[in-house]
Amino acid sequence: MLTFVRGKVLHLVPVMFAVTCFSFLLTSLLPGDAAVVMAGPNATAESVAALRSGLKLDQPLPVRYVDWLGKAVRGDLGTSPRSQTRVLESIRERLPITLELLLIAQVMGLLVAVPIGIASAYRAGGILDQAASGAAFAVLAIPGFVVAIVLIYLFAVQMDLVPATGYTPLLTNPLENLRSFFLPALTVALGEAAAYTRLLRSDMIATLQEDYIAMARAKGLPTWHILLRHALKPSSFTLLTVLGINIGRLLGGALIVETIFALPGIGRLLVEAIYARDLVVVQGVVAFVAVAFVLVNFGVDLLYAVLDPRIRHGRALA
Amino acid sequence: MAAHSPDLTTEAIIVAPAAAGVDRPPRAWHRLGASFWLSVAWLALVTLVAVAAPALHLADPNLQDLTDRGGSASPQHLLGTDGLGRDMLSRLAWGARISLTVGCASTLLGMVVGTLLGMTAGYVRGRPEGVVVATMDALLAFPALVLILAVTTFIGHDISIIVGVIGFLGIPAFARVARANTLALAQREFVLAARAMGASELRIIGLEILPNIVAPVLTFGLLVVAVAMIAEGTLAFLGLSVPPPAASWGAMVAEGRGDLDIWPQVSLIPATVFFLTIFALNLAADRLRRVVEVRESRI
Amino acid sequence: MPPLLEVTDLCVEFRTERGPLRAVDGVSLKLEAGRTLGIVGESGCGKTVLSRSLLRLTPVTAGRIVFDGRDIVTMDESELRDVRGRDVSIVFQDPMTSLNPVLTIGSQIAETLIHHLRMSRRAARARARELLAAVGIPSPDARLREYPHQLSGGMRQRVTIAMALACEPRLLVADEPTTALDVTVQAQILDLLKQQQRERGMAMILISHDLGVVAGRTDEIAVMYAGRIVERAPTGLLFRRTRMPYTEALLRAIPRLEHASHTRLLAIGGRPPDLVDPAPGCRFAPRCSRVRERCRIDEPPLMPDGAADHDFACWYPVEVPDLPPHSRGRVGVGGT
Repeated sequence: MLTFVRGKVLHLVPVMFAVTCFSFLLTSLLPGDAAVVMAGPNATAESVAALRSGLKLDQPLPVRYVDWLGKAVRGDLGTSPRSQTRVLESIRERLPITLELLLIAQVMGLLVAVPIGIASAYRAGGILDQAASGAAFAVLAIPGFVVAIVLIYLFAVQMDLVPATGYTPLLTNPLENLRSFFLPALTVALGEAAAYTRLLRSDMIATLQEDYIAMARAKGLPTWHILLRHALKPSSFTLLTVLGINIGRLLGGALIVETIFALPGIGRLLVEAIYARDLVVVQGVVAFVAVAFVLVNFGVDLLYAVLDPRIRHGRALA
Repeated sequence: MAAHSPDLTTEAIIVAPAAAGVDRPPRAWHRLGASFWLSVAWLALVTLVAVAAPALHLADPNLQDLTDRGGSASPQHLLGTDGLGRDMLSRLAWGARISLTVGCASTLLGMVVGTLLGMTAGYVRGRPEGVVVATMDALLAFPALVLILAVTTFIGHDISIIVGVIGFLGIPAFARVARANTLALAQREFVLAARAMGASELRIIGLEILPNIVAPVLTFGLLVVAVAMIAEGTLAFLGLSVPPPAASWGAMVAEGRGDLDIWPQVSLIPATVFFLTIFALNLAADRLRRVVEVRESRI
Repeated sequence: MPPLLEVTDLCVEFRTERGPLRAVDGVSLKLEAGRTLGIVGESGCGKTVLSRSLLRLTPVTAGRIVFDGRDIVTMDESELRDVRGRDVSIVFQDPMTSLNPVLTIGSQIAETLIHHLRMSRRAARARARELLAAVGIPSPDARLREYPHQLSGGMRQRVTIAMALACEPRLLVADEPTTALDVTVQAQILDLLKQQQRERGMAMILISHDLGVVAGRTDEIAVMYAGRIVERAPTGLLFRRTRMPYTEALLRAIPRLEHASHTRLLAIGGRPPDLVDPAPGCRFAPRCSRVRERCRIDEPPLMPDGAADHDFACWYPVEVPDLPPHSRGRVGVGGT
């Protein structure tokens, strides 16, 4: 187990390095003068010059990268010239909202995917299976913003059940908070549910062919017990892995949903910064999101090892 | 990307089975099924309308008519009008040009570069392969939409830039598929035979490997077109794609968004067209993939 | 006393691309309580399908399987679930794949006790511990919490046996229980099965491709070929008066310690027949050393050998006294 962890960590370091390098390069290889871009079209020559020296933009690239990296490792991702707030502060403020969105979405997705996935696998090829597969396929074909629009139309406009946009903090009013998360989480959850159902179904079908399932049947155990206790656990590894990876990926990718539904999360922070050409914030947030993604993936790998007793004890998978 | 962006990495793995043998039994076409041909028909229709838009006698897509905002279908406006009285059908047709151009061009870019990289990595192996794989993985660790947003905002909204960055993001996925298929093929007898007959490595790659990975790569390409179109649509929805008055489907959906309670069809019609196109692409790719796979098992 | 298990004309057919495949073609068996039946045959003869169909783990096409007066083939699901694991247990060939890798040994043994005997979790655990000790597993307490991959092959098979014995079944079906194990361990497992059977008064069906495994451990042996029983007799009689040429060939194929080294192994030439489209006549005809015209035209039915309790299916059976001494007689016990 320890060798396994060590191996993963060693793999992790260069990837993190590459990823932070990349995000730094992203904003630094723009054509034209970054200071000019950031200062905006109405800036005077003096303000541009002040910006340039303030952000040390006249230094050569490698120096700037090392400087930035050194500060970043210590938690200083810079200060936005626009809002004068520290990037890390902004992230800290916005992160819980994005996380709440992702969590609710994943729970919703699983609530749908697990029962349907199990039922589809159990009677593979049956009516439920075909209907579910078709629905999953169709849902995965709908672009996220289209889902959002349709859901807004159905739930907010037609049925007036939940607010279309806007956000209420959890501590202010928990019910309103959940209501404001309903549509955005559902938008994300639909796609997740479709993907998870397919994944779980195919894993389950494979598991149900195994000898130990035949043995469980031979022992006269009831079907629900076999499905939930014998078949679900071995089939859930891929699902859990993907779930973990999705959370990492969605940290950056939920920005569409956050923008459409006006949720003040990290994604929206990024979009705002991009609109405002606030390179410092863009750089910081992109690096944060990318590093978080890599770390979450790493965590998922570890979790996988913990869950699968075979890996835990260092044996090769049968 | 869309909130649940079709994950290119999982799609890559699904399509990755080794390419089929060179012989093509004619019965394969029958196995494609009605759904495949329906999808192809839709895609052909959309493409045709997009390409021929200037030649068709459509209304001016930018002509506003504030007396007929959000109007329903009528003889002059077959699909009604949008929030500013502009003809929906015409806007859909002209919008298709943008959506399809971005979708196809960026996919082509990613396909060519990615396939070359992947083939080389899979064939040459060793250090170059390691470098390619590591780079692709690092690229994949990036939230794609963020990258697209950042680049288009900072560099520009020109269609060529959009095509470039979306295409660039497609490279790792194609590289994976190409590499996986090349790895499988490189062990096969006909490659060994060619080498034994003294063919140069370049010849082998070009004449033996390449024709055999064309099928899975193209099939995968259909999926990528769908993803690219979604990416462009998302950008357009945020107002970050080609600037107005040119409007791709995504922008059309965004335009109607504020008026969902008054005239929802302004958003929902382009949304439906968009969905049907993506669905058709996915369905066609799925059917093709099955035929390719089945052929492979007959070998 | 009616037999504990009576199988009549059992047929198991599978649908394949080339047509229906009859893996089990009209098999009839009888087994009394407390007795052991050995079923022997080469790979592909249908013995595994037969063993699985006894508990309807494979759907049965036709025939009857009457266990303790009730027909397993026509039972409804819930009644069948009662029989499975409680009245009739099965041990599969490969203990690595028949144990769930992500569940502890303890839970896999306890679950039958909890479901069939309504034991509490604690009582079931205690019983599981007893069972592990009974099958000769050291430190049973620790084992309860372990996972299958942490045990050796022999241990795992003991666990499977413990699982099968948990609810005190009346019949145990052991399908090639030692094939996946090391030679040294095989004898131990077979002895364990025999011991448990005697202690509990269970009936047992022991299935193997290896005559050596069933000799000396069974009361009766049935030889299967191409989905059918081709010879059946009490064990001693089978070896003393082999009638079916196939059985004789099987006996001859066993290598012996007393032969000089490098003696050629007498394998049975040819391959098993196609069960989708079997040729007419006796199914063993293409490979039989005693084949004659009639064998290729008429399929021999299972006929009794005079008044003895011995059935075989052959037109030109082996005549008893003429066999040279090296090809029959006592076979070494405990696996090959």
